[in-house]
Amino acid sequence: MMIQLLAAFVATSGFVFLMNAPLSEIPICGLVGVLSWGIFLLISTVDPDGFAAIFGASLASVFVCRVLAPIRRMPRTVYLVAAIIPLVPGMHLYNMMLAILMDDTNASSHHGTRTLIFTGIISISILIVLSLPEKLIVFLAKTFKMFERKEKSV
Amino acid sequence: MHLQRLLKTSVFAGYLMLANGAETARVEDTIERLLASSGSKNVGVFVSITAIIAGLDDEDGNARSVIKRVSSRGYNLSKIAKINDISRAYVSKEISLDEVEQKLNDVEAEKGYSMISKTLASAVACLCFSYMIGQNAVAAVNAFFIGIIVSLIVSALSAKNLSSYLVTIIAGCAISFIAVVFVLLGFNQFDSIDIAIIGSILPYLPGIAMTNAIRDVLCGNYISGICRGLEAIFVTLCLSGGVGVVLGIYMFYLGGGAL
Repeated sequence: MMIQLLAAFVATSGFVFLMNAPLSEIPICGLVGVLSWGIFLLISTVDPDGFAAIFGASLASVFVCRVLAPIRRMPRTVYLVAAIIPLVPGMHLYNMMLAILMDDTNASSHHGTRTLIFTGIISISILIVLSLPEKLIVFLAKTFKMFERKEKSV
Repeated sequence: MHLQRLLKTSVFAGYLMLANGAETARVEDTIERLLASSGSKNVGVFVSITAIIAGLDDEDGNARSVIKRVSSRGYNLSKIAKINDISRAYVSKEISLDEVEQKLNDVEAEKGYSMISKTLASAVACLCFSYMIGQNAVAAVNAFFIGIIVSLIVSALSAKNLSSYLVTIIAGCAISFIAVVFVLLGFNQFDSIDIAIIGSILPYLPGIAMTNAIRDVLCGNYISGICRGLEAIFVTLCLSGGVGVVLGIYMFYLGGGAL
């Protein structure tokens, strides 16, 4: 479990580095990825299908992104990428492709719908978090003001 | 005069944001804030994924507008963050318009991280993603080397101005080709080839494009949202098609057997 979380940290940091994220934000993005993957693993133990796990993980991590953005005065995209990337359903996509190769219609439609549903779940949780009232976010951002970004980029 | 320059500068700022992967709602918001800070009437901004249109009334009451086409798109989050800071500083009157122009030019000239560090980051990300999915150290190390080679191929091809779809297909083919070669050389079991491949395709999956598409639709920018979503779907198809072709040839024609 600890090794998995460490892997999530390094993987997410590496990925946002590929997207040219600011150096000061890369460790924070890594932590957001750890949060997202950690919650996914936790809920997966009681829900092996992964629907609830994806929903809970993306809901929590996107919420953290929304609060982090005003605190660090950064565009939300920087953190959103980190929150989403561990949850992207690459495995089902690959299995769908493989099932199409093997002419296994049953399995391909199973994995295809899983891919679509997981993408949909992630979008719905983004939708829910982004439509939360601004007042709540501003209040939380004020509460956690100590994490504010000190250096100025301009 | 001042208003026309402001119009040009803010559209340039919006162009830089859009070309570096910001979602259209943010670009519209930034241009609108910059223009509205001058107190001009009738500010109107329309941003789609491929073009920016902005207009306002100048000091004499004449209508002015600018159209800017955005043809190339990449991802550079720190440029978006910097332009965000610049526009905030201008709106709160901390810097002048001259400084804004100067700083925007500086941001445009910025190169991003070096190719070597990006290649390493991509390889390490592949390694960790495979480990997260499969907990199989051997397959993860395979993914590390696949990540290095494929990222070198992709950056060499992208420098040649090839279509991004073609580059994606080639990346998919290269991933499964190298994975198969590693199996043939005995570096990996054929059973765990899937873990190596899934870990290595993750950096090329259009995760950001998909989330941006959703956010565009949520903000009411339906055209950009649908365009981006379509782009994401096509990129996914190209990638999995590329992987599938090579894997299929190996399994059915070279006697690799079925998974």
